[in-house]
Amino acid sequence: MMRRRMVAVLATLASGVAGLGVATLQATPAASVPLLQIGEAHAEFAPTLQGNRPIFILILGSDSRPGTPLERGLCDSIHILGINPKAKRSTLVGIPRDSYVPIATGGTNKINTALAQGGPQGMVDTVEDLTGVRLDYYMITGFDGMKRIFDALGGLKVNAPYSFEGHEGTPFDEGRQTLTGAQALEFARTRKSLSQGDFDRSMNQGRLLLAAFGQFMTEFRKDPNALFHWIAVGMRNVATDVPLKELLTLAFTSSEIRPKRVTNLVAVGSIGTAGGVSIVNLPSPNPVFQDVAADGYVLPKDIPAENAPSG
Amino acid sequence: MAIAIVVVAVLAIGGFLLFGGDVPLIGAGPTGPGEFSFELKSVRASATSQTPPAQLNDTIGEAGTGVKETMDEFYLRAFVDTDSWGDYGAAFELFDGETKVRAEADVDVLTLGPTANDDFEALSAPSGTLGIAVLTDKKDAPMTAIAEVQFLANAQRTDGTSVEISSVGSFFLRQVDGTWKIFAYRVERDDQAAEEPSATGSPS
Repeated sequence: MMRRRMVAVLATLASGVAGLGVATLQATPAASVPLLQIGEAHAEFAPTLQGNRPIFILILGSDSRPGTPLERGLCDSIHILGINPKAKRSTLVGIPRDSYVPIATGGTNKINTALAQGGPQGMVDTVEDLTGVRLDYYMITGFDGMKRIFDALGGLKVNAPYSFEGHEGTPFDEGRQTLTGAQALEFARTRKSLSQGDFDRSMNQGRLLLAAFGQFMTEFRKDPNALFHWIAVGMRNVATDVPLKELLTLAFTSSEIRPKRVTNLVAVGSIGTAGGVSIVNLPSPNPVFQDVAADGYVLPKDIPAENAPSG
Repeated sequence: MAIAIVVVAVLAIGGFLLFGGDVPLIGAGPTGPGEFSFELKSVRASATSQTPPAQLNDTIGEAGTGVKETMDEFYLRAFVDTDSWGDYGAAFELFDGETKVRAEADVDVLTLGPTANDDFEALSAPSGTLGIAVLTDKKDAPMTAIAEVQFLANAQRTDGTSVEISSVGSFFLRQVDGTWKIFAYRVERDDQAAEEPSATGSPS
């Protein structure tokens, strides 16, 4: 997208610059001739995705410990990122990890087991079957990867809608704050101290992703080199099937989406039990999934109140 | 015909002798240095693999050389080379694919301008610095580069005034058939003109 602005020549200065009114200007030694601005212009272009076809990326947080591949852990965090290039809108849909769903590799279980059972493709297939969203790519990180990412980025500036205590005792105050990698991880993992448990946790995970997006935008606008830094840091700590070239295009495309045009919501269901274990039963059909699958985004006015738990 | 040639030659030689060589010979175009090279400030790696950046020096050094060649050539054709003024085809050949079309539409920002031949008499003292970052893929091969450019030059307008040309920008490049080509850019122009000393030395 190319944007250009031409700043109008200041008439009073232009007359002097053009040599039409030289007598009106103070004479100065040639060695220190001041410069007058006569024209400022800007041009930019970057290849971005075009058209109305949405792009969907499955973003996963794996609980795999050192020695276990990211792709074989349980998913603590499951989000679908939809991007509509034409509308320049995006939506994050969090899926509670306790959602009790058919698993693509067989049986019915908590959705967070799909990665451990079937790897990334098993997880992708399970989410596609559940939501009707056709996923283009996946990205997986783990506890250590998440910490390293946000530390390498100099912390993450997040806006907490309410105060709460992290599961390791860290107090998170309402309002804007910069989190270290470890604090961001705790922010993302805390569940018990949140009023709506798993739903609020998923919402908070989305807040972190949104905060990262906003931070990337700010840094990229200031310095295009930020793009390489973010991609390099991300790729060192993420397992993904997004080709690097495509990642650049996605980054350029995302840079055209204002953070206010990104919505964050959670697929909410009813709490139940299965085999004595607490689970989440998601409604089917699910209007949130249908909405995001259609065009890659959900407008704020279309988000049911229950799908934006605790703010 | 021969008489005409003699007349032109006499006028040219006469003008040279009368004005001490400060006027261009008849038929001569705008003047410029004819060559240009950025001062390379740095080339650094952004590695997507776990390889320490220091081990990528050879790889990114080679990439940096290629990127610099492209940027040198672009600013030569877009600003310095007077033969290219107004016809920037050679400069736009350094852009890849659809970006070339967009760059051509941004000719007034990316170059001295489509009417440079009419607007400018000469360009002198071009200088510039270049910082390069190279993004390497998982196999440590250069994949994309950013060239951070600061370019300055003095341009003498045909109306007798002078302009300091400033072009500051970021160019994204990738290798296409062995050549680093520009596929994205963000460029600012901020040209400024020197105040003319007043005839009286006092404000009116």
